[in-house]
Amino acid sequence: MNQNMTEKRRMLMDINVLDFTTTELREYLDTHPNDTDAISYFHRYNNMLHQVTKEYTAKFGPIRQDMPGNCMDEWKWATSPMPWEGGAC
Amino acid sequence: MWSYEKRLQYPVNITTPNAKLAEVIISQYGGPDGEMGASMRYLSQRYGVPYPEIAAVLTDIGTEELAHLEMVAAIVHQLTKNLSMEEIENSGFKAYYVDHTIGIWPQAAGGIPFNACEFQSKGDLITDLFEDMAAEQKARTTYDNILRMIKDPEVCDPIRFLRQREIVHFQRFGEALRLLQEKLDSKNFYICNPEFDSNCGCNCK
Amino acid sequence: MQRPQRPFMNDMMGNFPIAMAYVPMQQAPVLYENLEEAFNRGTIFPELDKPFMGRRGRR
Repeated sequence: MNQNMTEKRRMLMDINVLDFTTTELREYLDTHPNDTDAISYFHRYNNMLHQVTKEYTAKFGPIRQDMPGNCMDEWKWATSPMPWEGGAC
Repeated sequence: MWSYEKRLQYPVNITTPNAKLAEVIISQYGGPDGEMGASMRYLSQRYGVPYPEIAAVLTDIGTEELAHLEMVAAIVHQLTKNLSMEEIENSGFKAYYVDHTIGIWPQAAGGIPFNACEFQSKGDLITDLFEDMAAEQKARTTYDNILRMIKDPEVCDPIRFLRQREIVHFQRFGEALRLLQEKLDSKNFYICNPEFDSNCGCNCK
Repeated sequence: MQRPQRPFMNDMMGNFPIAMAYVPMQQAPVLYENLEEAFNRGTIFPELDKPFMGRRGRR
């Protein structure tokens, strides 16, 4: 159980960090649209983010509306706790 | 259009209730320099903008401010959800409690409800970008004021994050203004309004 | 990061008429190596990292 919590926390931190990095790069690129280095950094981190989010969703339930997961017996998007009540936070 | 991600941009895990802090931090939810004003300001200003990169800056920062709005609400919620009646009655929070219990309602710390007078969308790109740079500085100062009052690291942490974001956003709005300046006539930047006048800007519609 | 090509972005050569304000463009920025530390600080760009240290004290 503890192992699971640690893994969940670790994956969530990775998602937080990767999403934050892509957000910062996106806002930088909006005013520097020709910085090709920044564009490749963006794609690298965005691909990693997508991958970790898929893995997190499969193990712990959905956090994105466009990645509901494969669970067929429960609509976890609705039944999992909100992020300020012990959910993805 | 918008999607929602069921995750806070930065974690909020506050274990100790504090009515006095909740009473002031609510200003960053619905106060004059708070995140609701910030998001509504930037998202509203987008519509007449003739340059897509500048509309992109307004969209992306406005969207991030919605995530910050959610964080501030989470902070106030966690600071108040386990307050005892005595703690409520003995604090300045009791006036808010009587009208909202511990629900989240957008107002300033002093009680003024959130309203659109707290931001401007002037329909002139130079003016709106200066409004936005000022807004980021006002938000930063509000977070500075809050940080002086906090000793609990669980509260400091997300507040420091939110404050740092304001500095980055200030830089981006300043850069958007530079992009705009390049498109206008530097002999007279004010000769016309690029959002309204047809004889305006190098790449006008 | 690649140095941007457009001449106006080189602020050393910039022309700044009065009656206007100008924020320098961030140029060829460096990222924090440790992105988790960057996240905790609130920016991936060390040159934008400006913490608050104010104290009221005695005046």
